[in-house]
Amino acid sequence: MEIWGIVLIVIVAIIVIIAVAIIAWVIKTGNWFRQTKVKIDEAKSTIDVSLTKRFDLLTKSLATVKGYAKHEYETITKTIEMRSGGNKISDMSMKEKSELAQSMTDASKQINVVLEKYPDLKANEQFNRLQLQIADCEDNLQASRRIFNSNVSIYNQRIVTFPSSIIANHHGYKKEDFFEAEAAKKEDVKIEF
Amino acid sequence: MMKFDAIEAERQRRLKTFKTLLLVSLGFLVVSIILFVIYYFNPNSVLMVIAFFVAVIFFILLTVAFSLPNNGFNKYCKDNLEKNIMNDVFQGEKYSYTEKNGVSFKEMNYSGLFLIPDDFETSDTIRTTYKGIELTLSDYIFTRIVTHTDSKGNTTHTRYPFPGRYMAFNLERNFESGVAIIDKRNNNMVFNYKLYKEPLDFESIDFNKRFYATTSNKEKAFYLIRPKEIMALLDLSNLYKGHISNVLVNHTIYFIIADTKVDFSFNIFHKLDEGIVKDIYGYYELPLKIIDSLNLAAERYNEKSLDE
Repeated sequence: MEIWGIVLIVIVAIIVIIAVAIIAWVIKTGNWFRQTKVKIDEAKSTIDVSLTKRFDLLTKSLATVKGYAKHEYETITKTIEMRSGGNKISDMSMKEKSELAQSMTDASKQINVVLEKYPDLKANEQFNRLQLQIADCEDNLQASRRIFNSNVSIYNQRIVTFPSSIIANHHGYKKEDFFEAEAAKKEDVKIEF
Repeated sequence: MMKFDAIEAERQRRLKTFKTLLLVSLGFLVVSIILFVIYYFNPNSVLMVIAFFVAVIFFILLTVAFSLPNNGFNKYCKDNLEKNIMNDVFQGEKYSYTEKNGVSFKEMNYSGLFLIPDDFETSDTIRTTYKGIELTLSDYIFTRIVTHTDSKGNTTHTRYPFPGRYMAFNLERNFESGVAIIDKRNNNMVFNYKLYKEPLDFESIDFNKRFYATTSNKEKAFYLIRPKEIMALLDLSNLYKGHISNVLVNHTIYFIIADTKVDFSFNIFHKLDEGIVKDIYGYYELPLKIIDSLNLAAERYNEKSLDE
């Protein structure tokens, strides 16, 4: 009887240990998903800040262009406004943000075309300073994009792989969208003024 | 890239000397063997002595063959190849080169990043300027001596060397604060992880996993370390062997690549090829690449700031 008692205690102890381990794992995984969501939101916010700053700098840059090439200014401004649709950047979806980023890249290229036509603009100190700031902002935006996509990739992998997918499905965690830059266009950007 | 025809010509000249000496020594070996064979069939003490001396001459000539032509070749290559590469890389900027102990531990550890070593040395120190930034580059070996005492009371001292590369970049702007970013894989026998009080948590999961970051001023830290700098540090960390750590103290950035040792030694038996020359270029270009990838020459690190 004694031996059976010991065996029973050992079995119960093992079951308890396994149960505790599983509960600890469930809590840890749940916390991991919550923390990673926060990191993704943080990275998303960094993208919003970079996009907003780039938009503001581009607008200032275009204001300088206006003094030299009014017609080109109106065309480029219309392109960006069409993409932004007057919405706040933080309210846009990832797809809309990607499209806005691409339109701003196209606008920058168009400004460079205008630069070649107007040498006086090229010599403008304020304009050149703005161009440097835009370049720095673009680098920062690209880096923000990489960080965001890396965080999303880590998060999405955990959602789809077993056994963390059990926790993800139970709590309703869904895959996040990547911030994708549009594929580089093979033909040159068409500038129609 | 450097043309190393002159160095190859010198190598060939020395190799020819080696081959000549080797041939002569082998000649003595053959003579010695013949004399020993003759002695075997016709024992004669004089023959024995002559054979012995001829064998000794063979060994002496063999030693001379392997040492004399090689002697000074390493220094010759360093003087002609490495120094020319340095001139090419630093593009006319004045630089100073010190072979041994060019940087003191006190200077290198101004940031407090290192713990106190049991032994310490630096080598191949270069000081120069690039894009207006004063930089220092040096190799170091940080040594820990661990004492073991066995059950019989015998004490042994084991030396654990931790080699690495040290770079320092002097900025114009004084940030009056400190930011430390230390690779978590670094050995805690060497590095001081708790440099500053406030821990930093950045938006990149990969970055937070790889580095432990602290600061004395969170606002300045987040001003300095933007997504661009986060990705630049991650990319540098993935690109180079060794573990990268860096500390900004006021107006100097101390950049360490720990657990890496680069040794350029030359001998006449290995032909100089583009691979070696590329490696040497890479070695001296590294601090310039760091300045470019972190954009340390930008206004934000110097008098004015784009964000202000």
